[in-house]
Amino acid sequence: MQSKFNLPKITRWVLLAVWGLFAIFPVYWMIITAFKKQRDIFQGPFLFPFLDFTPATQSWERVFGQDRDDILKGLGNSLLFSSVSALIAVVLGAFAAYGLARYTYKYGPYRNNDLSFLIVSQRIMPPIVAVIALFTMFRTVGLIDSPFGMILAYTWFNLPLTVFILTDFMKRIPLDIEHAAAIDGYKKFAQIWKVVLPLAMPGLAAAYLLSFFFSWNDFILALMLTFQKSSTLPIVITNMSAQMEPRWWLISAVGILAIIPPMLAVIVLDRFMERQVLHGGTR
Amino acid sequence: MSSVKLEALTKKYGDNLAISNLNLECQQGEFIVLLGRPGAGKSTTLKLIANIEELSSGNIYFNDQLINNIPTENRNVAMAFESYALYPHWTVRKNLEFPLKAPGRNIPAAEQEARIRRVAELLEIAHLLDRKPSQLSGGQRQRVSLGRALVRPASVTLLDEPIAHLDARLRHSLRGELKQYQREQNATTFYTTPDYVEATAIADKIAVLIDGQVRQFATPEVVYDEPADIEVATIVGDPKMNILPLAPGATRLEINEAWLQLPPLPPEAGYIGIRPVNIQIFENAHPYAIRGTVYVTEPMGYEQVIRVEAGEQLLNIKTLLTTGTFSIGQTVWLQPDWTTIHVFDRSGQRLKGGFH
Repeated sequence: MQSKFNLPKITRWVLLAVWGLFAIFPVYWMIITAFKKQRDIFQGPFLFPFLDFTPATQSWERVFGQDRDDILKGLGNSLLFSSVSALIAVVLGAFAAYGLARYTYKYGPYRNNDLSFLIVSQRIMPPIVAVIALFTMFRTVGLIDSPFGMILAYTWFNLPLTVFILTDFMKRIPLDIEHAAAIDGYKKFAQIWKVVLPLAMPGLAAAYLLSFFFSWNDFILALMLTFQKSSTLPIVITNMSAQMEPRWWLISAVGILAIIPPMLAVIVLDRFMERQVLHGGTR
Repeated sequence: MSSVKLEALTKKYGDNLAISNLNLECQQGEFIVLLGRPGAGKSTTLKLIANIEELSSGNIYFNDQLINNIPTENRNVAMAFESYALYPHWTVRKNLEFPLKAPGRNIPAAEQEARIRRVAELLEIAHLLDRKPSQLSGGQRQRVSLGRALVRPASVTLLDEPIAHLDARLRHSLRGELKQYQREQNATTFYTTPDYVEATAIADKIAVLIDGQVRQFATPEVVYDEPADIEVATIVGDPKMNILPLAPGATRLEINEAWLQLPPLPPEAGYIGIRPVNIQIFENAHPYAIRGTVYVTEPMGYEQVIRVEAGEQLLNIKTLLTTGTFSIGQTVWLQPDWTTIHVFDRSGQRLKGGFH
């Protein structure tokens, strides 16, 4: 007989509810804040539109009016830097990962695994450690506040991640499948283009997304390496709290805009994340 | 459609010698079966011919031309992998099409279509052309992999246990079909299997591989009738040949207090081999026979295999089911047919000459 008091099930629901609260509430708070007047924000926690407070479009008038150009510039820069640097990081990462997965290297005492670790170790230290040195380097070569510099910086920072993710994906592609393509009459480049890359697609998509997210959300690199021309959205948002106090209504409104591109990226790339792509190829 | 010559092939993995000094020569259009137990080096030999594995030393010739330095994609070899190695992101049709569309082949679209249809029908996969490998059963995948190797004309076709995972009916019918197709295409073919029945059914010549070496390379009849050594003799034939050690200079075989007069043997003879079909079995005491005890019986359709404990030996006997019904523990009498014995020296090599 099944007990009505099902402990595993209840525990599961409780955990999900707690997690859901943490996941959803900030987003909900941001959305309602974007429709609040200054007074409703500072007078106390008002949770329910129309009950606690009357929604207003004050912040949106600023977003589409006075602040439009700043926001558009930040949005454009963020989109450009994130998408391009993620693309470069994935392409270069795929080459490196393929090499690490398929060939044996030995540089002094370093073999494949040591090289992999060396590359990933770039992500162990917090970016703030490197960013001062990066600033000095960039200033010397005149890359401060330039789109190229920002793309370079994000590519540098994302590359270890993409190499790490993709090496594992490349290793999982059976070598025999590549050999089959060689037997069928295709040279190395065609083997990679027609067989390896399609089979690594879930990895490529995941690596692209994670790189994109990092660059999109990055604050510290943009703060140090840009002034005006190449400011990204997080910098634009931060500037809104300038002078006296944070203008939460405006920050929340731009925050909503900032969520949209990564969401679209996930939706577009989701269909490439098919996990079963290797299924059926080998015994 | 090339002749192939393998000259002193050697393949080392670290300190392991997978293939050692392997020599083999075959004519254009021949169907060669590499027969051997798992780990004998069959797959490695095929991979060396395809240049998927790099030679440690030795030479490979197609049509008397040295091809050691020609990369895989330019060797014009076709291969069915033991692991299948299908392209999982494409349909069966695209899998079969891929080798036909390779750069430089220039096969007209109509011929591509005709070739695909031909192998699809041969392998009974015509109804699966629009499916992806993940939607196929293991046996269907193996047939697609075989199809990809057969669909195009190649200098040499390499088939690595290509029908091992099919059901018995298909395995049997495909053996014949494959041979027929190979004749028709005049395709020089290397085919590996651990199954001697498959090998004898399909091969023009069998190369018996043991420890990375060709121990014997001959027609199926010769390999069966005149095995080069004891190891070859026990691989070819099912159940395996009975091998009886001889005392030096022995003139008779003594088992269970009975003895059998041996035919005149050369002095260097160390072992005699008798195939299971060449021993008669009797339920009652019989002159010129040795006594034994039935250890196990295996009826197989119209035949049966009986294993009999005689002295220290466990002998395999294959006979018709109509010979009698034997039960475990029963006492039986055995009489070898001396005209069919194989004689080997102390090191296991076959001794030439007639002994009967």
